[in-house]
Amino acid sequence: MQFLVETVLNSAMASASTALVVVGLALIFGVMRIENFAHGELYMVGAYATWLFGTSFGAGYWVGFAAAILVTAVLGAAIEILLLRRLRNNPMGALIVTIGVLLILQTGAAWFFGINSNLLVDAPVSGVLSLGGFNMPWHRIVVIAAAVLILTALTVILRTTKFGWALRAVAQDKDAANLQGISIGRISMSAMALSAALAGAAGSLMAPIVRISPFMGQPVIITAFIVIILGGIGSMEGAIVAAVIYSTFFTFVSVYFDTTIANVAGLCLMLAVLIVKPSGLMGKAQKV
Amino acid sequence: MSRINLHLTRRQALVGAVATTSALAMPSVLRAANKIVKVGALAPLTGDLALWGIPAKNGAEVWANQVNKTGGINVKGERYDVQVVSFDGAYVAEKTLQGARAFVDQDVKYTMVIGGDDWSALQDFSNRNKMLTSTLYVSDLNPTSKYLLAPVEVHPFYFGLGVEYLRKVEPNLKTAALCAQDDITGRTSLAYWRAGFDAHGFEIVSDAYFDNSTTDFAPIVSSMLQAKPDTVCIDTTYPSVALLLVEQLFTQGYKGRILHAGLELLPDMVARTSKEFMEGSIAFFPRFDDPNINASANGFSDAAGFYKQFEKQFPKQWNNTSWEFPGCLEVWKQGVETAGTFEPDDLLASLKANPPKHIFGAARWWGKELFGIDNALVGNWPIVAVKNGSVEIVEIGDQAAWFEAHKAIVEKRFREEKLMPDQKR
Repeated sequence: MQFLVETVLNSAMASASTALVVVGLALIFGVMRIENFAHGELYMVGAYATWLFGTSFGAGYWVGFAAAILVTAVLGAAIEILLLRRLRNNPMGALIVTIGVLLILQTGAAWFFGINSNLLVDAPVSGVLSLGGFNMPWHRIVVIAAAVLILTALTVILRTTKFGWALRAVAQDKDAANLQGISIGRISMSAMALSAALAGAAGSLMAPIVRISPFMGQPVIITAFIVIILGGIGSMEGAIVAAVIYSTFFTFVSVYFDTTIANVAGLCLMLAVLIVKPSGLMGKAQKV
Repeated sequence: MSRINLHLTRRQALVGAVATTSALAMPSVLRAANKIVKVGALAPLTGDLALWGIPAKNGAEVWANQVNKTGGINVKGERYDVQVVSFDGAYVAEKTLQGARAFVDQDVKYTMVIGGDDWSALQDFSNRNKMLTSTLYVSDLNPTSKYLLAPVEVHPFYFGLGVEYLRKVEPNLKTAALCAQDDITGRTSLAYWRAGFDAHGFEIVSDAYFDNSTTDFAPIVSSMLQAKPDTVCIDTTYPSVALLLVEQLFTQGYKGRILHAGLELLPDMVARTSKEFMEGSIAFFPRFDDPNINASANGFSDAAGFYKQFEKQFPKQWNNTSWEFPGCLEVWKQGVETAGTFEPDDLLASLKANPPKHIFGAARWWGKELFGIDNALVGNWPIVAVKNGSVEIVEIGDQAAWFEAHKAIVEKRFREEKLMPDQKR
């Protein structure tokens, strides 16, 4: 029982961090129709920013967390303004550019921080919650709570603010939104900043748990793409549901078998869903 | 104040200048008389395994400086200074091969690699170019690896000694849980750990591999601890992974000894857990500031002095591999001076005929039974245990003797992982 509870809680934490990453990826695809391959590297930048501001400068974890969100948001906006804006009608070009950004960010992190993977970020709340025989580090509970808070705030913004309506309008029909006076450039930049900030927040939250390295974004982006395909490309609700399903499935297979089998089983799960529902769990079928 | 007048003629001034310049330049002129022999550190200087590669390369440079200061290498009466060249193989096959090509172009006489996944890229090239190479992974040896030696560390052959020591100090322990990353390093070493636990009466209650892309180790540790093991072995997991595993063991309430090949990040482990939690953990790499180091590492010239020099040259960068490339170079130097040549075939023949001293004392060439070739120099190896947040040598054991005593079990466990020479593809 204790083992089961711990595994469920570990699944919840994995779901929470994955959801933060994939919602950002789904958002950017919805608004800009771009598969951002550099999204995993924005997660990595979030982790490094947390270390730099929180640990290295000694400002504490939460300052590092805020800095991670700020740095990644600015970086996301800069990527949109400087690179992607010029390629709005060239999806293949944009895809290649995001791969270029991925390599630049990886190399930049290696250049500035080295690759020794020995940068440690202390959790803001240390210790373990021991309850009824099971142990759960407090920081894992912080990750779950923070992800729920951030995703709730995002939902409120998207559903109740003018910015959110504009963003959803652009995601639904860019030309119609433009005719209504919505600035596509401004919305794209904001969406990119928001998406990057979500990845940065995830990286920051996970920094005390995972090893920080320039390549830490790679497994994250692979998982993220599996999850958004599973959930239905462009659907944020689908992305969250798929993040929970995939992460829970992956964690349980890892625990009862091993992580190599879990990787293969995760891909099989995605294929099985696509066979039954080719548009993903909550994606909308499109006429070709 | 009185003024001193120097009255020098032009001739006197010229003679004085020549004499002074000659005197100042004399040592370098004398040193320049020595020829140069190049040795190569082909190691991951970037990537996760830079934590092994960089200290290994730095150690080789410190060793070369010390040897050069004392006259270099004597080959049939001719003196050679050692020059260390390095290449970042990044533990990636293509880059490692690129480095090997660069070394051949530079006439490097002896190459040192970490081994494991990076050797697989080199073997054919090494044979074609007679590239004499040393590895730290004895499992790289195979019947066709003619120019590959394992002259210092015969990883994972010391693990049996560690379990033997554990049994001695903890006679009541019954069960063990094991985990390792799913690659050749993990599989080879876990096979040997299993043999060790079998040989000393432990029941293995949890035994799993994890993928190299794993980022969260909580589920893996939960799975291990579910079996309620008395002891946990985290194999030769890479340093940063070992740190995360240890942290998870701590947070999930494990109380017991931890076994690991190196405990490279022990200070961080202690910081993230506690001195009490890490107390008694077992590993296999002594620090060279250990008070017993000169007596234990008697095949290494002045191990304690080497440590001091390393700390001076590369402060706070000491690691388990800092002395391993130098250990390989010590063996090579003995061979070269005995054979009187750098040529690989003659040098190999001489090394085999006159087994050099191993870093931890007398040794013999071995390996045919498990690897199909006697290219591993097997001698004693230390077992270290964590005491008050630092490792100390607690015992020195005979690796070959342990293997001889438990050969059948090792072969069985190796066969399960398809590691025997007749099973390798």
